[in-house]
Amino acid sequence: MKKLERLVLCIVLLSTLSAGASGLVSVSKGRLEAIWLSPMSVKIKNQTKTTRSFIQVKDFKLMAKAVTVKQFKEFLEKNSDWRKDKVSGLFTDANYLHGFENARDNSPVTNVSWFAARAYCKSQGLRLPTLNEWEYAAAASETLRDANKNELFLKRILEWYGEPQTEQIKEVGSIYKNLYGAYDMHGLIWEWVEDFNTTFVTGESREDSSFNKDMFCGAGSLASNDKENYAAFMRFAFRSSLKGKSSIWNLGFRCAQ
Amino acid sequence: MADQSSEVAVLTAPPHVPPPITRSKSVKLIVNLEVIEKKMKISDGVDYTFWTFGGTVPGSFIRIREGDDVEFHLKNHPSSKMPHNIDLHAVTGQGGGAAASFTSPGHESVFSFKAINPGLYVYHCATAPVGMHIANGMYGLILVEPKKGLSKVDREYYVMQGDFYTKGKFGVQGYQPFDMSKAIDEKPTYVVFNGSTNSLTGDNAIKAKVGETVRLFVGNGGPNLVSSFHVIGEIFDKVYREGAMEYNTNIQTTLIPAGGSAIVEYKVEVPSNLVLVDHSIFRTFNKGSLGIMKVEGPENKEIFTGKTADNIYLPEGGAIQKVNDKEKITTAASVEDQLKLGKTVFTNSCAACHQPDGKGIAGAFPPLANADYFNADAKRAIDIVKNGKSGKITVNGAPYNGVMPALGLSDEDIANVLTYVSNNWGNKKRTFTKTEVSAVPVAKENSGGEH
Amino acid sequence: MKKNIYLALLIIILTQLSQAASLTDIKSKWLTVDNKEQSVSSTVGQSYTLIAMVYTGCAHACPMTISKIQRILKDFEAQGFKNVNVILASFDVKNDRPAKLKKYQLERKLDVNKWNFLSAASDDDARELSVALGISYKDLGDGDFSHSNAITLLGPRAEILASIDNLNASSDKLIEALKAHTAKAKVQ
Repeated sequence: MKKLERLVLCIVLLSTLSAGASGLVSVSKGRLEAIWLSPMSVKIKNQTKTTRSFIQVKDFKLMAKAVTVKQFKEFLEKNSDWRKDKVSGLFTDANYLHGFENARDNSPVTNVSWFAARAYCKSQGLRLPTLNEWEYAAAASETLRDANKNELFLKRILEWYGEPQTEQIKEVGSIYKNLYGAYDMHGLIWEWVEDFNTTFVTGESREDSSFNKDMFCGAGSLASNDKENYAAFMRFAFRSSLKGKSSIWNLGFRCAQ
Repeated sequence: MADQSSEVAVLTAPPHVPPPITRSKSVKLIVNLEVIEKKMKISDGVDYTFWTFGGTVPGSFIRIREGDDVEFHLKNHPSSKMPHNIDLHAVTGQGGGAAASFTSPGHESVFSFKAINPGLYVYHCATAPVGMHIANGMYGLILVEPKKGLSKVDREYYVMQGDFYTKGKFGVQGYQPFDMSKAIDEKPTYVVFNGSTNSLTGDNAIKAKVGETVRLFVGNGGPNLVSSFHVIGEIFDKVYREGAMEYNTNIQTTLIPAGGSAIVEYKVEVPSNLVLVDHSIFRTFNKGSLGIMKVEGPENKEIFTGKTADNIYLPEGGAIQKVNDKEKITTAASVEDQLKLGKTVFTNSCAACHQPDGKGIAGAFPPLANADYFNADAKRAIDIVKNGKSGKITVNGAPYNGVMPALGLSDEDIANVLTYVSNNWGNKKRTFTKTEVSAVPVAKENSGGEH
Repeated sequence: MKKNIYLALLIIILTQLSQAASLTDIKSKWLTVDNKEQSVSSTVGQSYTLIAMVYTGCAHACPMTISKIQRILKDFEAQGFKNVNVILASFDVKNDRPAKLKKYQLERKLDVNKWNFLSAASDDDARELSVALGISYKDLGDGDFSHSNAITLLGPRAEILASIDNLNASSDKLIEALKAHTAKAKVQ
């Protein structure tokens, strides 16, 4: 218990002292239509109605920019367990930190596993954002809290999804800043979330709907794709292909609090 | 298993097919297939981001033998944005291997299967959203040769149809992204063989010599359309319907379902340009599903005299394509520009019938090269491109009796394409202006347009 | 050229990582049914272990997981492997506290010398173990969890030897891994 108290104190101190340095922005609580979930059937007074699915998030803080190569280098200096030559095989695969030495300091760190991303955030007194937190923050455009159905916003996202990553990854902060002050939520890299393994796309996507029905009660299953939600759908497909040790060239992270 | 020898499968890019399997024993066969997302031309001047198996659309042709134990390695290139997998219709097992091969970028999945059923099978990506992965070109063919092998032929080719959905209309220049709405509505912008309107035309035409027997492995990736596969100027001696190992004989057009295949064989008897089409014919002349097989060799007047036209299927009346002027990106500022833009219009709208070299197809499509009919009357030329033409005409002494639809080109496009034709292939040099084209009236039956 | 360098690098890294992934790297402390604090790997002891994640409020898949493990243990015994232990770690951090897990174990008559229930100190720790074992789960908020099922075989040093991710799968894969590992151990 004592340990926990100290940790809490530490986090409080960190947040007050280095809010600027670690670059956190506030995201205020609210709810977001989960367009990636199919409408739920709800029984109200013996009548079955379908309602849209929503997610709720509490106030939280999010790093304005993805963790950079430079920041991760500093982390490795203090935490040698996470260096490529020392790291546990449980936590990383062979791609871990591939190309790291030659990456630009101000580019986001990529080829990091979920375990490594998490360890970094912990070292800063932070954590990875939850999937809902990330989707909630990422739904915002420069001016709208929920731009998930905005055609121009979707177009930008899909352009990045449709473009193979053949060039060097751009620097953090170079794409756009949303109304919470978070940069590049789309268009720079994919990002890890704490509970990425809550997505039940098995890779055999045609099997998933029945899989959901058999194993789970009442959970909104991933919706069949229409033109408004298929960008989100692709994000979920991407996450479901990941394992905790996966390291991918265009997958990085940012921390939350 | 233990005493089985192991081999690495030879894969080929379309339209080529790996050589027939000559070994008489089953082996452990290693197949290495790499997923690459890349920008390529879907038509002249039109770029599209394809998701590919092996860097081509359709993906690499895989040839294995009944009884082989296949060890399949699916590699997803590090530059990929998406995870991918593969469902091989030749596989007996969960999802055809889809879940077992689900692979994130920069990773590789390995799974094994035994080839139990001989036949020609489609493979495709089955990652969500499945339709989109297929619409971006993620399909190909795998042949499981029966133990006794296939009959010997002189040439084998690989042709696969697919429908594509782009934001801009057919022929609109520049980079065109995928359009989910059109895909859901099943309204393709392009329907093509081997991933591009030009993959089997001009220099890319496939070839055969008179007297040879040709085998086509034909697939249809979809995602939506069913193909009425037909070769203009030939009758299929044998069709292995839906890729089965029994055949029917003397077939004109064979139906190939989305996610299905057929093997067709025919002996080419006379020299000609055979035209591969989807006989749902608007797709062929307006959306790109057209390929050429050039057959060279001595003529045989007993089989084909050259006097009467082959049966040509053309839509009657006007095929009106309204072109939205707002989507036009380029305007010609000089005659050089006109020639350049005119060439693109020609390739997209004219070359399918009149051929890339303007020589036409004897008996069916009149020549534009060194053509007396074309050079004689500029106004008539404008009128034909604008309003279409049907009925008997004589070009360079030969009679033609066909139908050319109104192409729905803008006046500027018409001026450019006519300038291009006039300045090539020995025609009377001349430039056409937009004003000149506008002066020729639009025929009544074409002016109604869409309401 | 570039590709070759990439490949060479990959091979070097692969050989460096060739030591089997072991749960000893997971440092989090869990609680036994008797409220004893210990790590997952120290629960493994010296023998082979089957590990799975469950929650006791589960009506459907979790009882099936337990009966599947019992069947695997029988298959193991038929092959001469008798001393295989079981760890069942709960991802229902809020409800599955040690006392509740103890009651569940007694009700199910699961031998306390063989079956080890573990309760996580935090959601964080449960999530970490689930990712390490390749299990997906989601708290549905109403006391239920949606989750995938994986049963993993661990070696005496908590190294991951093999796993099945389908309750209908046969025990063959696990038996093969068990045999391969004992054969290797004898050679050494």
